[in-house]
Amino acid sequence: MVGVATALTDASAVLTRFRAGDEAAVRTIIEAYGGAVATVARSIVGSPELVADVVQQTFVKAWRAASTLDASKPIQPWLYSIARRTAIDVLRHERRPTTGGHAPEQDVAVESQTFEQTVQVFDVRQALDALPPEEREVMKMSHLLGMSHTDIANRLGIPLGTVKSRTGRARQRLSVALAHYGPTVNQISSADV
Amino acid sequence: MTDDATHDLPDDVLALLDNEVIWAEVDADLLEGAVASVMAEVRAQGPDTESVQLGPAPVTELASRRRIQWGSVLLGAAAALVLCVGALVVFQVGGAQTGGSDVELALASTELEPDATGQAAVTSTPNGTRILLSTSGLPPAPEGSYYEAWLRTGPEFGVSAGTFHLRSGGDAEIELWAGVEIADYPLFTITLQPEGLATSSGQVVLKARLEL
Repeated sequence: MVGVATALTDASAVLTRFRAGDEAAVRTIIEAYGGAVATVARSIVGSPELVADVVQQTFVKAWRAASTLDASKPIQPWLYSIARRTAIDVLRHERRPTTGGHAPEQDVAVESQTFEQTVQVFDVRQALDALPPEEREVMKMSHLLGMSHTDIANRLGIPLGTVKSRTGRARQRLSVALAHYGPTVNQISSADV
Repeated sequence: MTDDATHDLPDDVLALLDNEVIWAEVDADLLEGAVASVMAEVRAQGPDTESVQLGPAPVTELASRRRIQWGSVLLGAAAALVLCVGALVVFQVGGAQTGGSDVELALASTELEPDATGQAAVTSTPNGTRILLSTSGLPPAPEGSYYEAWLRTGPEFGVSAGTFHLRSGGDAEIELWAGVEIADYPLFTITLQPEGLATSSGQVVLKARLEL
């Protein structure tokens, strides 16, 4: 899968090289956050063509902006803020009627998700991208496809217990990564795994 | 979700997990396109952004810059963008002629709120300057106080761009308006204000500055 979050073991160093225009660092940043940025874009603009436009514009703007960002601070708030504004601008521009002639073009209101929803979409996608592939796979089959553990086990040809343990570990990782979205996060019991 | 007990995840997160948008695969070409776009920008501006002189009067050129189309090469060395106190100005050459962001500002934190970060998209419109402010890590203003945004000529004079308190918690995006041009008021600050004070408290929590 493309877009799996890359473990940025030294985010500060990567950001320093990113803003200097080092291609490897640019690639690392885009691979680490491209999935989340694309998900934010898709949640606002929908169209795949517009998503690609938003993703490209977002990272170009992020690079232009990176020269004075504090490398010790996370880049995520910067990215989802730019992605959100860019997506709204692109969508507004796409929906704006063209009147032709000398009549001024009319701006249009674009109903969109709230800023808090944008942050949550970004964070959840980041958390999913950080899951090991085998855990992400069972979560996707369970949530997106609505499959039971038994069906997943049959589809993948693995024991039912393995499906349950992978699901349990995935939920635990998500609970930790997204703990700030819930007032209390219950640790899964050993019976779940 | 089928036979999982998912009580360990909040309901809004679970709802997102059931949404196909959150799972959509990202095409490799899309990411390669993003890499290529950034590297094209790097080549256009030069690999070392800190040594690039990008324009002495960026704000006054907003109108002409809005006419530039996406993909155009920035004028680069001809226009020097001098960044002070951790502030950043970015020109959104791809913005729509109406409703697009003209300038992106990265706001620097201060010792009062060292963990706060902020970004502002500043748009010059026929009716005033629109500022779309995003904050992260800025705590809710305590009861009896609020945050106020300012466009300033310097320490001595400023125009309020609006107030807010962030008591909904978490990160936020706030729309602010000012009846002056940022070209004339190049210092943008956010202060913590006690209720009842008509002038700036001087308690700056976020700031950005354009050097003209």
